[in-house]
Amino acid sequence: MKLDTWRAGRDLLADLSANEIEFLESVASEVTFSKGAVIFEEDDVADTFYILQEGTVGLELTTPGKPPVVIQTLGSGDLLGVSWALPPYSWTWRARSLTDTTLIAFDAVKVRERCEVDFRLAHQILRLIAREAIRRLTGARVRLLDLYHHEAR
Amino acid sequence: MTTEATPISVRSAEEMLPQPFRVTEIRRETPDTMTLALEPTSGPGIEYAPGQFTMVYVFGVGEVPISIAGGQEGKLMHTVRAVGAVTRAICALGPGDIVGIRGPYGTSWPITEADGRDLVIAAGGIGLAPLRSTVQYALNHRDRFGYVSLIYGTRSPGELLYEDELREWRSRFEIEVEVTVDRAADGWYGDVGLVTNLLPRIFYDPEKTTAMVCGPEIMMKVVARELGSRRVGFDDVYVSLERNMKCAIGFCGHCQYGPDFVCKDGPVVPYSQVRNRMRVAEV
Repeated sequence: MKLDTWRAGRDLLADLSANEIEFLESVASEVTFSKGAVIFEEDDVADTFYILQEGTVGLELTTPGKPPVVIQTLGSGDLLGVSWALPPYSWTWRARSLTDTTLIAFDAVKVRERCEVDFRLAHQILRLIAREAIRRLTGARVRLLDLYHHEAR
Repeated sequence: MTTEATPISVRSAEEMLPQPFRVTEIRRETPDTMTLALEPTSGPGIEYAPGQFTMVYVFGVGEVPISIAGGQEGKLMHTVRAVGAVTRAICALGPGDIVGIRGPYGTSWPITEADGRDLVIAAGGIGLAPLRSTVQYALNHRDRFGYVSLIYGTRSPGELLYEDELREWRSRFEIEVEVTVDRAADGWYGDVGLVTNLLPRIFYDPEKTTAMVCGPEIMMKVVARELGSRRVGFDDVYVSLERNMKCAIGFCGHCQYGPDFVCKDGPVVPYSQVRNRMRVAEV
């Protein structure tokens, strides 16, 4: 799986060195999901993470007796999966493919093992995850403000 | 040869005089938002630049500033959300009713200055209205720009403005149109999340991008900051301010925002000009 072409012009993996990219390529494979397929389920073991190449994925909150609520969608270039990096290594949300999707899947177990001995890689991976988490936290906080409710122009 | 300046009191009196415009069409956008087409009852009407606003006077009720959403050959289009006495009265108008219009006022989006550059047009909620004519300008002069993208976020699928036009703009494949909502509803198959989530999806070269952002101030701040983190310069990010404009000609001071009057120094300004002020609660 070659990542160099894919990462051109995208921010997500921009800070990784050639060696680090080479390692990630060795644990990556391309996977596809058809529209409606569940990519991972809430509380399941988080042993894979993904980068979306094409399509849209919804992160869903499931409640008994009610249809699932999509709390956020992810699209091309987005990181899918953060919970794999920290204990208890289980997914917080369900991820469902909202269109036919193509993703790059990374073996999270191998990445975690490598991070135990390669601290620069661990640092880069945690930076990448922290940056995405901050962006999503900012988005969630701003949405909590319900900004558009009383707005006039 | 000497020229005599028009006395300021005469000039201001003329500028305060509304022109009568007739409502020719009214369309419901959302449960509380209407779009009105207006034409002058006589005379040439109003020529404007995208991003400017007019003062709309409902006789016997009052006057409010409303962004210009479109219109050509002297006619105007305004999209109005019913949030107060005057805007409720505007939304209750019907074809044939007459309103008073003053303007156009204020600064405009730097659409002609952006020749040859990539455009990122980011709208939140009713903030799409002041950007609508900019999108149309970009579509009508498509060869003048690089990548052109519209990213639009709103509260829910039922509160999207200009749904037919969004579909039409997207179907032309000349610009990228991405829409997201804060809260999904049954039957919504689009994106869910803040409008900034759409930035990684669109193409633009940060070095030669002009961004035009309109929505609630917090939304504009967050979008500008995110564009900054993606290496778009704050001088190239333009926002549209909203303040309590009364006279619209820089006399009354109601819309003073630090050293500027939003009615004449704004509403469209570079984010770099107001970035620090946007952190100050008292301004």
